[in-house]
Amino acid sequence: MSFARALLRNWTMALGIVLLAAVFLMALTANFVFPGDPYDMVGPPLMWPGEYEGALLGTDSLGRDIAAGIFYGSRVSLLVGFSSVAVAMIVGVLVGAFAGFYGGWVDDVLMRVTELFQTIPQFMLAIVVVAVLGPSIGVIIVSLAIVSWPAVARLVRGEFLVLRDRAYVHGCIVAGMGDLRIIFRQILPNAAPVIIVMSTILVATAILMESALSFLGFGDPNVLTWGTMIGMGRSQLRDAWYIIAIPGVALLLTALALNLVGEGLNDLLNPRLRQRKA
Amino acid sequence: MAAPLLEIDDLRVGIRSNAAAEILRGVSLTIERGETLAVVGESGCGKSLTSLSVMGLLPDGLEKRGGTIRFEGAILPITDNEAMRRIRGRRIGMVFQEPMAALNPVFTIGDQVAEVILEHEAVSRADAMARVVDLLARVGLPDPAQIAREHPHRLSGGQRQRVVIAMALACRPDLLIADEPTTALDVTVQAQIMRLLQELQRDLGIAILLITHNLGLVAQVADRVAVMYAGRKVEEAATAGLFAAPQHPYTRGLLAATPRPGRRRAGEPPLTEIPGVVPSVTELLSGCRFRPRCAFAGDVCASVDPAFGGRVACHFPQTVELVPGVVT
Repeated sequence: MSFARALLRNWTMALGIVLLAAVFLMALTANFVFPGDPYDMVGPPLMWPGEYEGALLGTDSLGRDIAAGIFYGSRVSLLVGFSSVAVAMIVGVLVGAFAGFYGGWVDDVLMRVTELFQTIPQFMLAIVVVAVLGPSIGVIIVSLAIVSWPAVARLVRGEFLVLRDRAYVHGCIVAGMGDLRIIFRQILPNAAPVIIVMSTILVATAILMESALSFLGFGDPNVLTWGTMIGMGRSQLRDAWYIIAIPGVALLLTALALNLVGEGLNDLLNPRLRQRKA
Repeated sequence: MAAPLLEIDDLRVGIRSNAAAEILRGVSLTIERGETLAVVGESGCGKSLTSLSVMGLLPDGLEKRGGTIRFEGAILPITDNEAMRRIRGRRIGMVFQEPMAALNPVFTIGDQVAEVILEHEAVSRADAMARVVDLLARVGLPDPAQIAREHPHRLSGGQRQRVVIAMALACRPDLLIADEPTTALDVTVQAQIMRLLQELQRDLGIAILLITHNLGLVAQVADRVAVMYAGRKVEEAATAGLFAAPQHPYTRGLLAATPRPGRRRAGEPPLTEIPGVVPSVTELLSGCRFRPRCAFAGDVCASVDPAFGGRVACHFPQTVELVPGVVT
């Protein structure tokens, strides 16, 4: 079964990929399409979309180009979303793999620590981290990684609990293979599908949380993000709702695209579904 | 005389949380180089646990309470995982029951078998692969180079079990532990796999510890048979002798419960079952553990657990031969 044919059959995933590609394209071309700073004033304030020629999607209360903000904001969203999830994946996979493989007190200790993080509401924890360490892109990535890894750890642990008792794992043990080799070369590839699927959903969640942080003013003040735009447009909600509607739609479509891709990957990679087709 | 290849002496394994519960109650087995020893008994008699002990892989919650396991005369450090890792796979190979699940679905056959070689020996990946293809040919797989590139789901159960055997033999061990190696396979495939094991044994000189409850299999391939019951060896003899004149009532019961064509014509009684079940390890039972199920038990059996005396552990060993000439 070729990848292209699977994509055609799964049109929702194809839609997700197209949307996601569009967001990536915006991020990559922001410099060329809008050479200036997105904070620059380009025209009269509060121009509705289509009203002023210099800003296709209108301007906000200070005359900044909303389209430029969308383009530059996509960079932040993607950077924060993917980096924080990458960090969360590394930590979560390590913790979950060791807890699930070794069980016993290793599992107890690692899982209690994981639960400690889970008992604190995610968003509150992220705000606290940013408030303590100061708002910058790096800190936001770290804070979102801190709130995301426990879910990864629990998922990976669950997979490892099941997989470590598979006969082929026993086979590796009696063949004298080392623990690390078994964990990373034998079991992890079998757990990869669920991890990959979860990571796409987590990226969407991280992007939404980054926007929420920016909306509340905990974002990096040096970069314009979709959340910042929504936060700043808040006061004009009644007379110029497009100022927050446009970045809102951008957020919605990005999160939707990631969820569609995640679900599509789930169908593609889920071994049970795959075997039924074969 | 050189030391036997494997010598298990008075091995005792118990449950850590329960000082009274002993699962292996003094198991002693000896395997010489190049010989096949079959261990038989009902489920729960400690057959598999004995083999896991040899590999140093006692399940969680169990502990070794006593006894020694010697390999080539040297004591196996079965509680030292790092030391055992160098012995597992390299000196002692093991084959499990479920060939369908025994191979990792995400790797090719070649990669999996090569992984075992790379773990133990400092050879290049290409050299390992070349050896893999040789091994796959050795275990009788057609077109080994092609099979090395396949994923496990493309192979049949018998082919997979051959691959598993190839993995177990990848580093040329001296001892192969086969725990119910054919139970999950079709009858015709069972015979092929056993013949393969016999050929490999003859060609490579490996010893085989065969764990099974299939007495037909035992009769075909084993040099000697040890019968286990409730964590002890109750009888041990050369295969022909055991089948012709089983002495322990349990062994007789097992044989009487084994179907065999021509049995009725030979004048043997119809199949009989052994009443009752294997006692649980937590059941406190004085004297002989088989007593509640035994038709020959006397007063002494209730008080004294019979010691193993050369051939059998029983107060009333049976000496009447089964109908001669039916040993297969």
